[in-house]
Amino acid sequence: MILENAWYVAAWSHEVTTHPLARRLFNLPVVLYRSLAGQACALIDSCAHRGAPLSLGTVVADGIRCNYHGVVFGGDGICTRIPNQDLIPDKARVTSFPLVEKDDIVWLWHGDPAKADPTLIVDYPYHRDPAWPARFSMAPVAGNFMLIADNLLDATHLAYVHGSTVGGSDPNVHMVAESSLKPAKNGLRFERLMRGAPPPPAYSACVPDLPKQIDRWQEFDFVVPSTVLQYSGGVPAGSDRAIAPAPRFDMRIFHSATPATDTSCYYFWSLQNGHAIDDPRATDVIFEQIEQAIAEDKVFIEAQQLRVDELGEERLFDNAADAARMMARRAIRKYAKMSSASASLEPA
Amino acid sequence: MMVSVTFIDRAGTARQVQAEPGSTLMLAARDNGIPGIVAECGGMAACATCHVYIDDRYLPLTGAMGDDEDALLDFTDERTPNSRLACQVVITPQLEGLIARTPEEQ
Repeated sequence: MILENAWYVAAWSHEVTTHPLARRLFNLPVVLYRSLAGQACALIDSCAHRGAPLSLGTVVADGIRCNYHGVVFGGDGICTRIPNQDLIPDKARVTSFPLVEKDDIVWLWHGDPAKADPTLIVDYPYHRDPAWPARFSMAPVAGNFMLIADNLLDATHLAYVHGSTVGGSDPNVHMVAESSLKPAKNGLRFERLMRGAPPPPAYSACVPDLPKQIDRWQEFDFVVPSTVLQYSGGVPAGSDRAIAPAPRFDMRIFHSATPATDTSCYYFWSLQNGHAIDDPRATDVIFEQIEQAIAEDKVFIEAQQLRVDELGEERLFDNAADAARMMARRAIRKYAKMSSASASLEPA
Repeated sequence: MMVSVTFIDRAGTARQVQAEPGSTLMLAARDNGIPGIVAECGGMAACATCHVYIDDRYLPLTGAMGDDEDALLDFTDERTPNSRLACQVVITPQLEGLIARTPEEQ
C-alpha cells in the first residue's frame, strides 16, 4: 500500500517538456507535460471524451489536446475546447494532480488536494549549486517503492552487494561502523563513520591517490515518504574532514522512490561531485560507479520482491542493523497518523 | 531463584510474572504474554517496541543505558526519564519487586 497525502517525485524538471510524458503513478496512468507558458502539469492520462491517452496528444496554447477527436484540457483538468461546439459539459474534465517544481524536481501530491502543503517538500539546493556539479538518472525497479529506502538505511549490505563498487569487500568495516540515529522532522538522520578503512573501489576509481586508510562517512537523511539524501566521502585517516585538502572523496546522492504499482517503482537518483568540481570527467566517473551500484541494488530488490510476493513477510526477522529502517517505518506511521491518511505501510 | 516483576498497563491492570536472572525484562514479558510489549525485533535494540516506564525506585538498579537504546527512545512518542527498552534491562536479583508500566502505544 502507498502512503497518501504526501509529496512524491513525479519526474526531474528536464523530463517534463512540451512533449507529453506518460508515467504510471500510484497505479494510475498519468500524463506529465509542460504548458507553452512553462508550467509543469499532471493529468490523468485518459481523455474525458472517449478515454484515449492524452499522452498521445499535443501541447497547445490552451492546454493539452487529445489527438483522437481534438478535445483540449487545461492544466487544471477542465476542458477548454471541443471542436465545433460551444457548450462544454461539466463532465468534460479529467483529474489533475497538484505539482510543485523545486530544485529541478517535479513533486506530485498524492492525496487530498486540499491538504497539499508545499512546505512539506524537502529542500535540495545541491541540484543548482555550482560547488556540486550534478548528473540525473531514473531506474525503473520491479519492487515496492519502500524497498529503496530500506536498502539505503541498512548499510551492512554494502560489503556484500557492492564489494566491487561503493562497498569494499570487508564486511567488518561496515558492521563495526560508529553510527548515530536521530529523529528529524518527518524522518530521521542516520550517520555512519568508519575510521581507518580501506577506500572502496569506487572511491579509488574516482580519486586514485587516496591513501590506504581513510576515514569514511555516510550520512542519510530519510524524509517521509521515500526520499533519502545521502552525503558520503572519505579523507585520509585522522584528518579533519571540514578542512582536509585533496586527496579526498565527496559525493552527495539524492534518492527518491515513487510507486508505479504496488510492486514497481521509479527510482529517481542524482549524483553530485564534491571533490573535483571543475572536472566534468570526474563527475562522469562517480556517476558511472553509482549507476553500477544501483544496478547491483536493483538485482537484489527485484529478486527480494518476487520472494516476498510468493512467501509473504511474516516469516522475516529483523537484526541489529535494521534500526534505521525500522525507525523510518515509524516516521511513516507517525506521518500517516498526523495526516489521517489511510495506509498500510508494509511493502506489498 | 526467580525474580518477581510487575507490569502495569494503561488501564491500571497489574500482572506479576517470574523472571529469570540473566534474562531480560522484554523476554519475561513476552514469555508471559504481557500485552503492550511488541518486541518486533526480538531484542536487538532495533525497533523500540518494548518501551516501558520503570518505577522510580528501581530505575537506578536497571543499569546504564546504551547509546543505541537512548537513540531509539527518542523515536518513541512519550519518552520520559523513566523510559527504557525492556530488551536492554537485564534481570538481576536486585530487581525483585520491579514495577514497569507499559505505554499507550508501542
